[in-house]
Amino acid sequence: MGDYCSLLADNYICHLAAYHSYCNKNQELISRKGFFLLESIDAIDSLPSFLKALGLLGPKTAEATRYLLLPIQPSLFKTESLASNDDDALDGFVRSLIDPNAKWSDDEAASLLHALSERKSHGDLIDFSAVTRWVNNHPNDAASIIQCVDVDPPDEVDIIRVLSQSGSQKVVYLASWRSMQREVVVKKIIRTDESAAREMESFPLNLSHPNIIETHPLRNKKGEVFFAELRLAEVLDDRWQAAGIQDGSNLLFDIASALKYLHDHKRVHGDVKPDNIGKDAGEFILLDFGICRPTGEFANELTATGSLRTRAPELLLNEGYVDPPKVDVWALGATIFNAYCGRFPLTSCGERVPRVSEPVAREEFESLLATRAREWNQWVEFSKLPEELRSIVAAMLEPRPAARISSSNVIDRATKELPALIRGLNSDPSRRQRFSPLEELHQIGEFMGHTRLKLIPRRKTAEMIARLRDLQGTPGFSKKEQDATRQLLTDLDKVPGDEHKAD
Amino acid sequence: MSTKQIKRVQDSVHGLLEFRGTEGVVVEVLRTPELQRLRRIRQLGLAHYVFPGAEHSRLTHCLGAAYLALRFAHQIQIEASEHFVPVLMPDENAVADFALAALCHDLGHGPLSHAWEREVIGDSFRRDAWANALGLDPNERICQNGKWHEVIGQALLAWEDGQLHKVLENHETGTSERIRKLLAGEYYLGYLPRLLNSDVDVDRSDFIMRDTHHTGVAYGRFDIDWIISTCTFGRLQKGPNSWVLGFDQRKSLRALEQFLIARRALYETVYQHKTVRCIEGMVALLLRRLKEAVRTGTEGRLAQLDILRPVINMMRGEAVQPADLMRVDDFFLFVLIDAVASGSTGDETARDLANRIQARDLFKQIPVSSEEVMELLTSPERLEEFHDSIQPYVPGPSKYYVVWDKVQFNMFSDSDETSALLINDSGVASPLQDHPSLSAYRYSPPPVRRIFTVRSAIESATRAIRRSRQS
Repeated sequence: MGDYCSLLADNYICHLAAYHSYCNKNQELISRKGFFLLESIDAIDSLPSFLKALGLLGPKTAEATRYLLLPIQPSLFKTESLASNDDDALDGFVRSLIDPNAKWSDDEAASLLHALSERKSHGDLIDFSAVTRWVNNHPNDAASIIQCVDVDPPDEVDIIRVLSQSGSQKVVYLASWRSMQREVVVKKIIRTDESAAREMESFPLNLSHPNIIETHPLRNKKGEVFFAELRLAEVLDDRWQAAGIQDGSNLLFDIASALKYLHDHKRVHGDVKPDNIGKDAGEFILLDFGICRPTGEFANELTATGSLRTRAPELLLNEGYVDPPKVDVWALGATIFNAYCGRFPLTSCGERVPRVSEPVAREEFESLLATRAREWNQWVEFSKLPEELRSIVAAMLEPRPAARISSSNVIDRATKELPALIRGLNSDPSRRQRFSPLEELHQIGEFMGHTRLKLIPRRKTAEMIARLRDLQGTPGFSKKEQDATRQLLTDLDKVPGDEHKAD
Repeated sequence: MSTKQIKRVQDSVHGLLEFRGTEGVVVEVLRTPELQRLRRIRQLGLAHYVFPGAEHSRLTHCLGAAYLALRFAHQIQIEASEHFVPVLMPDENAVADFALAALCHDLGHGPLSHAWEREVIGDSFRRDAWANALGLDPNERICQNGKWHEVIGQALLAWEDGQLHKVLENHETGTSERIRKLLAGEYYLGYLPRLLNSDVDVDRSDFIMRDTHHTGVAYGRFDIDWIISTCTFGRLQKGPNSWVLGFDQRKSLRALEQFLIARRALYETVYQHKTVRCIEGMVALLLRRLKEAVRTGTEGRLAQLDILRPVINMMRGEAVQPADLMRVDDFFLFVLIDAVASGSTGDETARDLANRIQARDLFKQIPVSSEEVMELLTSPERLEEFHDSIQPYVPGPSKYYVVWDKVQFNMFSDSDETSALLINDSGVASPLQDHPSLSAYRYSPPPVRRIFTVRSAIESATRAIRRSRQS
């Protein structure tokens, strides 16, 4: 037996056998792990019963496992790739794969095992404890796990899972930033445009604008470029609906100011859409600068980039980037349109956009969108938008770039037309504003409704009266709001004590 | 009054207390005679007969409560910025109001805190007479329903000739009235009063910490820093849809549980300690005897001592004016006890009791169960037999030599206004006691009843209880 033990010193096979016995509920054998009576290396033929256990998932998995394991020579296991302390990692990997709660299908498990064995046969080192983490984070999703296996992340981060791979030019991962111990979103830029990447690195986006996400460029050992952004708790998606006019107005204003900033610095974001907008402490934040480039580079670009559903008509019609910043304006207009209508301007409700991985369907869809862009009038219709927003969004969704307003115009018009609704415009200078004048008016009204006015100190009454008088002058207050303000002022004036009336 | 500098006070429990800017008014108010009187009232009455270190005054507790109020207020200001526009934020004046209310919350306590109120004033004190003597409107809600010490507290705040009132009004016109209202549960920021008076409030937070520290017991500890850091805004599901203050459910639950348990431990082992209750009961008997003697005139000598006039007047059931109230404190009471004990004339029973108190010659507990006590109390004949069994061992009427004690403890209050609240992730507030993991604490055990009498009568009394029970 001693000979066999040395022959089988490799922990992995012991491990398999232990697993075998475990699955057969043979407690005695488990306790004697490491002293198996395996006749020869061929005894690995008893593997079928192990494979059967692992193959609880099905025959394909069992087969793939056999494929993964059988070519293995004991010596192989003594290499660093599977040092003995990896034994636990392997154990965890197998356990998470056969975990019935994870609901791995036979096909999916088999394809994962095949992909892993392929990478092993190329001599790749596989960190099974990381793979186990990904298996747990992506149950029954071999493709995503392989995305995680294949990425070679920068030293600063550990990949947690894939967030999205829908973009044509990047894969987005959730990762943890070791030194900061915070979750970050990491994007691998597939485009290998070195100069653009260098320029991004020199451009201090992170500290420049409150509505632009803090972004850090990183590189892995091979020199590939990644961008790490802080992860926000709330990120919009296509289903996100504005809760009212307030929400939409602030989305418009916040992101337009981020765009104005970029455009003023001769940059174009290139992929404005709900998934690239986050929300933090009531403010909307523009995310994902993966394809953000200097305006000039877009001008030379022949193929359009960015998502189809927010793609501007001139790109759909193959006119190229006539006026690149206007592409961002259209995309923001489309995003706001979607937040009220539940569809993008040129798509219908619930219409599926083919992925990059379906080139034929995608091409067909692109030409369909081009047709719709020509029939703009039939598609773009503003009745579901709040009245106050209609004309400004219409100007953003103007099909001809020359007629479309610029981000700077959007800010000017919003400031003039929507001042009551925009938080960043509230005139109280003492603090960073979290509330728009309209919200402030509602709050004061609610407060006065719940409070016995007699209890309010005179000083505070005077302060409230002064504030309401300021608010009264807010451009953009409707008659209803004007009346409400006046009523609140009258109520406060009736409060006993007349000191404040002198103000 | 300077508002620029930082005022500092060293505290045995919270360390260095700092009052900045407007908050400095707390220290200004602390200097007034109304607050200084509390220096001469022990926070734990007679508990120092058992826990010798428990000598701390009500003044230190009030100052500690005011300091904790400031710490809560600073947290509330941070939380408020999430929910309110600047004009509706709790500003520095509201913070000062809150701290002042905490400072003044115990202003009206009499000597030994509770024993005086229970024995001398009684539940059925003449509310109208007191309201008139104190210059309060008898129709005010607090005069109609409040406890005596609450009425006195309100009166001292409203007392126009008093220093306290002047300092408050000097701080800002209307402050004294605002603090009175706030203590009575009314404030323009409707969420604030709950932190002054509820299951988890600044008062309890301070006294649990302080009493634990000074008695030296080891179990009254909890994480005040964490509790403060979880204080946040929410809205009640039922009732008016206004903002309330509570604690972040996800973070605070176990810290709050520890707070509740700490308070229970103090009740069971300190405030309701049998010897503490016994000595309190003995002082109560003395006061009751003196009250009787003063009313019937057998203690004429005491009544003639001008220095004791306010005390004697109160014993007679009369209401006294604020200036007289200011002279009533623990020190006074001990002067009284000493006067009674050392007098050669006057009431003999009172003298005997006073001597026992001074010499710490305490009654002992009769070893019978709560049920046996209850049975005894419900039968007049057996009660008579019981008193007869004690009479031979005592120099005065036996009823002045028996302390009847009944203690009970509830983890939670029974009113919505005084519940502590948990705020869930969606900002909905619900009472702490409704949380499933705390349901076991909702059980209220039956009261514990004890009888104490002179040591020599214990055996005889025990036999009498057991005998009459069998028959």
